[in-house]
Amino acid sequence: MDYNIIFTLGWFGVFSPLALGAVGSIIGCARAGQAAAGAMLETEGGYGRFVGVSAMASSQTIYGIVVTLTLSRSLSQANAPGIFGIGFLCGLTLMASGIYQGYCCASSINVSKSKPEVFGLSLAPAAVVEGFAVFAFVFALVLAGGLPGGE
Amino acid sequence: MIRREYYTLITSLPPLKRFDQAERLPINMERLKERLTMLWQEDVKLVDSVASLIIWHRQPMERSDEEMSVVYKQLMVSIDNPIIKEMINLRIDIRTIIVALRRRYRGLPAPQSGELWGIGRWVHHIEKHWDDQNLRLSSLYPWIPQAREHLENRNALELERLQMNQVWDGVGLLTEQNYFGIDVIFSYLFKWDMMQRWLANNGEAATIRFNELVSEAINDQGI
Repeated sequence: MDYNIIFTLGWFGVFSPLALGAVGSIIGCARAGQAAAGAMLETEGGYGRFVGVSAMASSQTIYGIVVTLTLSRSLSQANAPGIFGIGFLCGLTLMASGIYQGYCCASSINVSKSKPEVFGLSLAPAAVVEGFAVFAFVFALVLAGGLPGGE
Repeated sequence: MIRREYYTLITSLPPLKRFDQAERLPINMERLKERLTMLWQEDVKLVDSVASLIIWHRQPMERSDEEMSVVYKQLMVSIDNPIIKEMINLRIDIRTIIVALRRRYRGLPAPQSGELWGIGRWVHHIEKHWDDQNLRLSSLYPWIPQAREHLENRNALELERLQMNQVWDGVGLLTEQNYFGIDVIFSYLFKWDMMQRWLANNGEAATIRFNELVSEAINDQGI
């Protein structure tokens, strides 16, 4: 394969976790944030926790930053394909997790505004979705350690 | 079909108790209209057109059955959303079945072919099975024998409650898998309309509300 393509894919893999993770966080936080704004119209207090829940999907960007920094190294024909595979797939997982966590957070806000006692429990689906992002994050770091050119 | 989602609008609507358990509307019409300004223009038109057929107080008194049938057919062609279509059909079908049961109860003969007596998917089926006391629909609508019983006992309130329960549960089931789409807004509006109609006919709830208003007025005046 053309060296330039391999090199480009390598860079694509380096930046994917951060970029795709940020896309997921943008969509997720926007959805949950809109739900939080609506809930504020209907409730008399507890606004802070709605805003807090709406920011839950921002963690995917943080995981993306860490993975991108870990994958960032001088690219070669030996490590670029591996960086592409790990980075791109980790990025996709972080993006999906951010988007769907936004759904979960919006639903949690919707139910807990009228039934505050289920607030903690209603966040369980969002925490489960976060768990999958953590799996992808941890294994991306572990696998990145085995790629040539790392420190 | 563009599927828009309304996170802010849906979370800004207060939860609805079941219509026959509520003492008052959780949100009044003015406030509800204000919240609905968050809808996109296309969805506002959709809500308006469906409301003119389904929402009780929006139906003009002078509208004839023929006009109603035309509006129904136009809506079925123009609406893309299958869940909203099903909600409309649910309400219309139940209404048509009740009309048929009332006509049978009064001893009227089967409607003549071409006579406009009901609208929806079951009109021809009902005409064909007029002689069956349950219109050969009881397997699909198990509440029909109970509705017949209420009719025979002249229990109008229970018949109304039965109809509303069917629509309430049906609409709820249709939107069970959706949380923030336009169909959820429709489900809310259907239920809100039913609750409003039920409360308007419920003397006990009206008394409670009247007493609340009196107390509020007294408190405001510091009496």
